[in-house]
Amino acid sequence: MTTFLAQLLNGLQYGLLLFLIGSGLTLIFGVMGVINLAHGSLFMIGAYLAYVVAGYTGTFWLALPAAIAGGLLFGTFLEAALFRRFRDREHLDQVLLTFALILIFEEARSILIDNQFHSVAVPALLDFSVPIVGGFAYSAYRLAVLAVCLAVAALMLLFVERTNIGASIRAAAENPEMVGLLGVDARRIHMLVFAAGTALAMLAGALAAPLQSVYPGMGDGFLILSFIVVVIGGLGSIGGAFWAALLVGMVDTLGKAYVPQLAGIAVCGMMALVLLVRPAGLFARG
Amino acid sequence: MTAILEARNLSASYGTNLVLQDIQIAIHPGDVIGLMGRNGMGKTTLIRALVGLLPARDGAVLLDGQDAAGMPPFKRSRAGIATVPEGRGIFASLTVRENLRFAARPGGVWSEERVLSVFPRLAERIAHRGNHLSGGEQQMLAIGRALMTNPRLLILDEATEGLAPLIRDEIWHTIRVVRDAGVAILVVDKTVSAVLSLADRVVVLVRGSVVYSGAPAGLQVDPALMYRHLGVDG
Ligand SMILES: Nc1ncnc2c1ncn2[C@@H]1O[C@H](COP(=O)(O)OP(=O)(O)O)[C@@H](O)[C@H]1O
Ligand SMILES: [Mg+2]
Repeated sequence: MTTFLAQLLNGLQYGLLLFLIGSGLTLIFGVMGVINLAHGSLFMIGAYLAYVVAGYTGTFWLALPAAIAGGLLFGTFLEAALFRRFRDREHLDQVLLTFALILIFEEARSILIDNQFHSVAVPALLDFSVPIVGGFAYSAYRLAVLAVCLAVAALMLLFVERTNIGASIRAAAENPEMVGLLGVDARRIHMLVFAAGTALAMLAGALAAPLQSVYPGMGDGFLILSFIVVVIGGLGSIGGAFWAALLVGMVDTLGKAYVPQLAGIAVCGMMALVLLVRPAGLFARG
Repeated sequence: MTAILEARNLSASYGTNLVLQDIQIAIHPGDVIGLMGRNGMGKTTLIRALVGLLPARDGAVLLDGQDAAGMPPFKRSRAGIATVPEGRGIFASLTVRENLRFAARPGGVWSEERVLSVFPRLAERIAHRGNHLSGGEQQMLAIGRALMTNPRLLILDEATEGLAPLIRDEIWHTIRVVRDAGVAILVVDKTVSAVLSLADRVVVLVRGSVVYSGAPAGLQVDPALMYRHLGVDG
């Protein structure tokens, strides 16, 4: 029973991290029409940034604002230097570009840091267990990650659904041609979306660093699951990505724990089913 | 007087398929022009070329007398060209208010209040999302939203398509209100009689070429032309 509770919480927390990554991916795909295979590498970069910042300063906490600020800057740069030019290109060109970025990012990591596994200590402040029910206790840091991800998700949903800028993002995801016909320069929306998506992926990486080792290629698994989140949630839909991420996080975590034989295919099977039954996404607006 | 928007020997194509050939059309301030022709003759394509969604293959589109080649649609819109496209282009996940505010530009006569006073029905639906509106309401929103950009020229592509007769009348009435406010209009519509009675000038396209350009009366006196090119029994 207590392991089941722990798995549920793990699944929830994994799902929320997936949301931080998948929400950016779905907006970049939905608004800019760009397939970004390097999105998982941004997660990896965020984790390494946390490792470096925590190592140099001795405080893990600084890693979080560093990941957000660094992500905004890096995302702005990537959009202006590369992705803007690939918006109108074929998907194959985008796949080649972003696959090349994965190689470049990994190579840069190898040169600047190394190829080893590293661990990032759980911050001392949260290095204890919280009793939940009966004899069951759960890591305080994991609970904090849950809370931070939920807060970020709530802020994002509010921003996208309730503000004027959020309305522009939805408009651009729906009908980019109409955006221009109404006199709005879509490039500004693209830059914002790409910068925010990069920052979220890097924040997810920083948050995840103390939960797992920091290692080369650590974003790959996340990239695949995030793409599944995008498909199940419906392209460009933030709300859809949220529920899809929770679903994928749960199915993947519980699947690995209880039916390990099926773990690899459970999530992919789910995606295939969604593509067959509701190709626009399970949570897409009707 | 310089035309707001002009096509000069304009040709355009989709891939290798030449859809517009040697088109001449000039829209001056205050003009009301009906662009006519049967389905597939190139009306929508001409509009797309005029607003910058399709590059000219030959010839040019001129905005205020300047070659507009390479000028993106958002800049043409800011220069005063508003479009109500075929299919309306309402943002389904945005509310009526968000759709209007998205297009809002300060410094003109068309404010949210004024648009809502022209379309009281939109005021009742202000917090509804685009996909929860009826076809007529969507069309009113598309027109109201275009007006929010405070245009000098309003382009309407099949604005009464699929609407009930009463709603159509309402749309035609609004178009007259907009014209009376001094906005130039380029209108494409299947209701030939309505276009002929509204426009000062009509341009008829057949397979991407202009076969008639002049007063509506000149077209009406030629039943053969009316039937052959517009499908109307004269
Ligand atoms: N996106 C497109 N790609 C290729 N051909 C197109 C496209 N849109 C329209 N056409 C072709 O261009 C011609 C003119 O179409 P269109 O401008 O939509 O006509 P109209 O608006 O007068 O009905 C038609 O033969 C149509 O098949
Ligand atoms: Mg058409």
